[in-house]
Amino acid sequence: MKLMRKPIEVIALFDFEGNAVPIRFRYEDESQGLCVIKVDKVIKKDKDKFAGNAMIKYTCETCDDGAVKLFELRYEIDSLKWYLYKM
Amino acid sequence: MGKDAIIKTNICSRGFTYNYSKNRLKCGDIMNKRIIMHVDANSAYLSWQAAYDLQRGAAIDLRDIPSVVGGSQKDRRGIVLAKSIPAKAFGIQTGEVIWQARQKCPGLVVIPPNYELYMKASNALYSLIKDYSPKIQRFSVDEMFLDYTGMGAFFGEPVEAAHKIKDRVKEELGFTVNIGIGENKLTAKIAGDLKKPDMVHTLYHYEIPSKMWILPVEDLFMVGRKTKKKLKEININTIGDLANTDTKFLQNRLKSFGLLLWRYANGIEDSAVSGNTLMNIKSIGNSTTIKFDVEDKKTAHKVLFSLTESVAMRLRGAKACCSIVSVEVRTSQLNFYSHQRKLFTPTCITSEIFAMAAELFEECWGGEKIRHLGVRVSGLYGDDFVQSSLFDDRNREKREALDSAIDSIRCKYGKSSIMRAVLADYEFLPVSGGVGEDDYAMMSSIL
Ligand SMILES: [Mg+2]
Repeated sequence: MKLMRKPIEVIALFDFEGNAVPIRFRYEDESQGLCVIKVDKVIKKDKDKFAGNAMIKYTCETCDDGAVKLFELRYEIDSLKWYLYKM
Repeated sequence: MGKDAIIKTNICSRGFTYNYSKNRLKCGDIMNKRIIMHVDANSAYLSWQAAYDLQRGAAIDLRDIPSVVGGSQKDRRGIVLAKSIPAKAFGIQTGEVIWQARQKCPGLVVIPPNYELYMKASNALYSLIKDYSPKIQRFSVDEMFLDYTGMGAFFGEPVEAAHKIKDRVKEELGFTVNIGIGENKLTAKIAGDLKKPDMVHTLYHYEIPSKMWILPVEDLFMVGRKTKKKLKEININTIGDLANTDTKFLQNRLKSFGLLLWRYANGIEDSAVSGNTLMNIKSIGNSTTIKFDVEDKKTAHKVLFSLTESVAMRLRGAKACCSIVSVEVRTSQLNFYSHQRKLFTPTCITSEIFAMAAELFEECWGGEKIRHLGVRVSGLYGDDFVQSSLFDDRNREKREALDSAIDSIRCKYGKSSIMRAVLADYEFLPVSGGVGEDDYAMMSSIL
């Protein structure tokens, strides 16, 4: 995975318990234009509170042409913004 | 506590003896011995920024390179608010002017202060240590007292618990703290300052001679530059010198303050950890030195407005209203005067605070050339507790809504994103500086 830190647009499911589960997201890639990625599986969910800034980190998998790709999404609680952190 | 009080009065009347510390050692064995911790973030502003940057994927840790947090680079008046350890190695000091610091270290990285981040980090630290005691006092943005008395049954020996807290802060919040452990707030604070960073120290009464008395007298709480000079004159150089000086002699020289210092030097201090969860804000103020002499009312009003904007914004940020507004003026002749008044109804509305500030200014200004202006609000209440008056202007709600809209625009797009038309000529900043450090009772004389 390489560091991306890209702001993304996300479709997520917010469940009864207040968990946000990302389903699909898209971002603007310099060479490929608009990329849409489906989140096939959330492997791990962690909370990061560095310097008091709360972020939820999702380690996820997507299936791209039969190959499983790993990536990390981050949801910043205060700003309600999503980022593709690593892919 | 009653027992302690008796011992203390004995000491005060007899003067200090070594027996005192031995007595305390014995008392210390009883179950409910008072234990206070002082939790202090190491180079707070800098390490909070560093942790925040790392969270966003920064490749370098500001703590590992010569860096400072301080006023903007273009602004020659900016000063160093916090420094990294590598910056310290260049001889850079807190409070020094940025350009001077740059001369000492040409590659110095200067980061502007980020007040919002500091509040977040401070709140996160508070909520983490709240797990270990119901009694916590926020002493400043990066310093908190924790009353650990009787908590040993839950979290273990004080030193063990302090290590747990320190490591959790480092792991979860990404910055380091020093924790000082003592039997009162004073010794806890001095213990916390012993050696940094990322450490736990104790300063129990029996350790006072070996750990505290050897320190230079200026390391004692409340000993500032002036007091240090006075003490040096009477050949008091270490805290131990002060502790073993006759109290009558000290009182003669320094009045009641001398006795207070003597008590501190002997580790005697018994104030409670005030459990107010609200931040201990007493007043919020902001002042600026103007680049030229202000000679007319209109320009002075612009400066006051720009100062009021940031004061009012911080006041609202603290969810408070003020009941006293004061204005301070320093003339080009370096004369200083201030003027204050109580408001009829507490407020957090920019235009109301400004109206009062302008009125006060007009009343006290004698037409001299002005070099420095300040606005300060005090007599703070929570904003949920504002009694409205019959005579209040009906537009109040609208003004409140306007202010909150302006605040959120500024939060999102920067302080200059929206401004009052009077300041649109950019002669002065639309929101005048201030990192908000003085929002806390920083080193208040009351522990
Ligand atoms: Mg500190």
